[in-house]
Amino acid sequence: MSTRVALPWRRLSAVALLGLAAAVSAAATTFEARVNAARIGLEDQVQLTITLADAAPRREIAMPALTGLEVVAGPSVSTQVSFVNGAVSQSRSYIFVLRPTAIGQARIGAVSVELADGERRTQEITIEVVEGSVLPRRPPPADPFEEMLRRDPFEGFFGRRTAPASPAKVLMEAEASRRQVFVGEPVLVTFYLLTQTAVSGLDLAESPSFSGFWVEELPRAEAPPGETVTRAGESFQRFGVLRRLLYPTRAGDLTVPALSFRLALPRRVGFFTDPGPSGASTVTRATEPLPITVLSIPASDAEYGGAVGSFRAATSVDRREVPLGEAVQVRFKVEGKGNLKWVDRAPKLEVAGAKVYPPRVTDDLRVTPDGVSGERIWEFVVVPETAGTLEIPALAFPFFDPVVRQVRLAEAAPVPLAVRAPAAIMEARRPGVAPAPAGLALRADLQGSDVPSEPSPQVVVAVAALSLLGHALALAAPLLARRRGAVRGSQRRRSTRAILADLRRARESGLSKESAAALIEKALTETFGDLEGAGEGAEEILRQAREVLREARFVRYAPQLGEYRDKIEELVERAAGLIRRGA
Amino acid sequence: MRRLAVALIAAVAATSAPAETAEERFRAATSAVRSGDAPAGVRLFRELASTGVASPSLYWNWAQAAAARGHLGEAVWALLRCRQLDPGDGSVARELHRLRQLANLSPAETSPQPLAELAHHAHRFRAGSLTVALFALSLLLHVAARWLLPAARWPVAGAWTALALALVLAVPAALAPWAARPLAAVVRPGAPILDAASPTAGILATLREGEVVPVLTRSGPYLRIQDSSGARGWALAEEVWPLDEVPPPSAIR
Repeated sequence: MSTRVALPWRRLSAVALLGLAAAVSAAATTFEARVNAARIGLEDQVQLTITLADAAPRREIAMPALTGLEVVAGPSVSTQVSFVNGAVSQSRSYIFVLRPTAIGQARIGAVSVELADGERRTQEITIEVVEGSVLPRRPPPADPFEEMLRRDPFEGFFGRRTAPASPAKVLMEAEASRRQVFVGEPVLVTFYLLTQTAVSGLDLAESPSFSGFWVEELPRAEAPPGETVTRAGESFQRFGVLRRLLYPTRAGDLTVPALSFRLALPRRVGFFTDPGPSGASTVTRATEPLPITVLSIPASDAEYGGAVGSFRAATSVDRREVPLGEAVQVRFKVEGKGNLKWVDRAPKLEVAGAKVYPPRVTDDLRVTPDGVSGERIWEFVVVPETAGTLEIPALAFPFFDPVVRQVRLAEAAPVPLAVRAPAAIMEARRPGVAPAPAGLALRADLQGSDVPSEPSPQVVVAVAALSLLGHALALAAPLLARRRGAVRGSQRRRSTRAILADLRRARESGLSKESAAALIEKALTETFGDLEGAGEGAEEILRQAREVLREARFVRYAPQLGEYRDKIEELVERAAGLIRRGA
Repeated sequence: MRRLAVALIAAVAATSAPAETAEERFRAATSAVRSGDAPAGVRLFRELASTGVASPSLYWNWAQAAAARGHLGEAVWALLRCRQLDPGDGSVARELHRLRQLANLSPAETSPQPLAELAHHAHRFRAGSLTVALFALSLLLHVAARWLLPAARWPVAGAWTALALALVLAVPAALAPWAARPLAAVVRPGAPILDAASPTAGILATLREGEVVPVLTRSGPYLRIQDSSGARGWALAEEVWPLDEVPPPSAIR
């Protein structure tokens, strides 16, 4: 944290210097002196303003002769620069505070200035001085730098020091609003500047570290109010320059550390020399450490939830009646003064018959010298899940009240919530929901399910297994038969379907009778084995097959004396029939 | 002798007394609901169901009575039971859709398991019976191709086609019901999900009435469930009714 106390006139001085450097104007030069009152009392002060516009002096302005008056403070310098239609104009005013020394006529002599186009002079000013006071009283100084107006500005400029002055003193001090607090209770610490002279700048020498405290910055006042205080028998003007609100985070003896400030003190070297940073000396001043006794809270954290201060609570809903299925916003507001900013724990909200979603937290908190005040709101979204009257229960916010030194509850009253029944919803605005039939759509007969019961998964799996097993057996059957045939010396190697396909080739027209007969012979032999070896007592199918075989051989070896196509067709038909039967 | 005669008369009287049939009790329950006494009707429906009566009409009427009382979760449960018994009933699907909208539930909250939905549709379209039939047909065709009609080609093609169809249908008909977890419907608004199956367990979250949740396991009166947001915990079976059993009388509100 770093704080810089900015001085408004420093910026003005910089602008003034720029204005002087670029002083170019076609406007007429103005040089005048005026006072704010022509009749004053002996106890009053009068303000003399000398203004030079649109010109730069070749020499320093001579101080006017004062009769019956003496300088109390000044000069303060005011510069104005304006740009109108591309033309630059600037004016500079020197302001003195004068005090009458005797009743009667007081005079301010003519003031002269030497410009590029010649010398200019102001009119002499006469002031009537009467007894007592006739002007309104000035308020106390509101700015530490106004003090410079009260001092003799001509000590350096005119070299007429009236009396040897002791060196002006500047101090810094810190002050706590309380020295004994509870954990979580605020302490306002103010850092003061005590000065007997003008101060042109103030900075923190180093960033402060407030160990054991949560620090809240307070907004800085526009002009720090001043007051006259006495320290060690000497009078000072005191100005609060820095304020911090400290919240102890633990119990025990804590210390607000010493803060070091760099102060810029102006050195006046001439009437027109700006009392700005270039003409200032810097001194460092530190405050004294402040011990703070922090008391522990006589309750567990679970009891008061960390909240310290004084609060009140309220519960509200965005609507008291809601259709079933729509959401309601429930706001639990806690307001008051205390460390509400550091209370994050949401109150537990449970609504029977509704679903409660986690809350959203909003707050409106302000930091004031008395502490942080304002409100924090927990917004819950509650979705009723049943029709009827629901109740948002009473919610409580526990906190520790340091005034009564005990835990208290800020309670909010329960809130009833009417949830419209489904029928009401359907009559209202739920266009997406199909309307319920008028009355109850009840069924009259206790009929069993007319749907045939489905086989259970176990049955399906069992049937699948059996089926797959059957397929496997069917696929394996030819292999078994082939093995059995091999044992019996069978020549069958191919399936019936393949043999029949081979046999059908014998009908092809381009085939010779020998080839066709050979195919028939091969099919019969593959199907029935060695037919010639079968005895006469063999079964009928074998006997017929042997007959076909012999006829096929006859056709095969017979001389080509005629057309054998019809005969071959007949033999193929007979052989196919026998093979199908034999398979 | 006299005592024996009295006992015989009593026995005859008892056997000849008209026993109230399931049909009559169902009608009595329906009349109670129609006359406005829905709680009594629901109690009778539950008694009937607990005796093993499995009728779509019973659960349909139960759902109507529960919905009339504003017990949307109970109505959803009864309709799901009804759908199990008659998966092809379109009115059940429409009523379920309506209740889901009333309860402001998303489809995912009432159909938490895609496998269960697949099994339901398989049941609706008789996929189990069809699968068994196709397996049998494929085997018959294979046998015919092998031994009865060895020269014909169509039995072979038919056998393999039937077998392939049967295997495809077996997934929803047998594997999906086997792999899907049993379901339960939340019947009490704000039913808590507990961190343990114990009366002293802490509350993890709350369930929405009408929400359908898969049951992971069971321990006494507690079900281990997972809600639509993925939270797992224990819930009382009286507040979350499994679809494969009838709730006890104490669970009826």
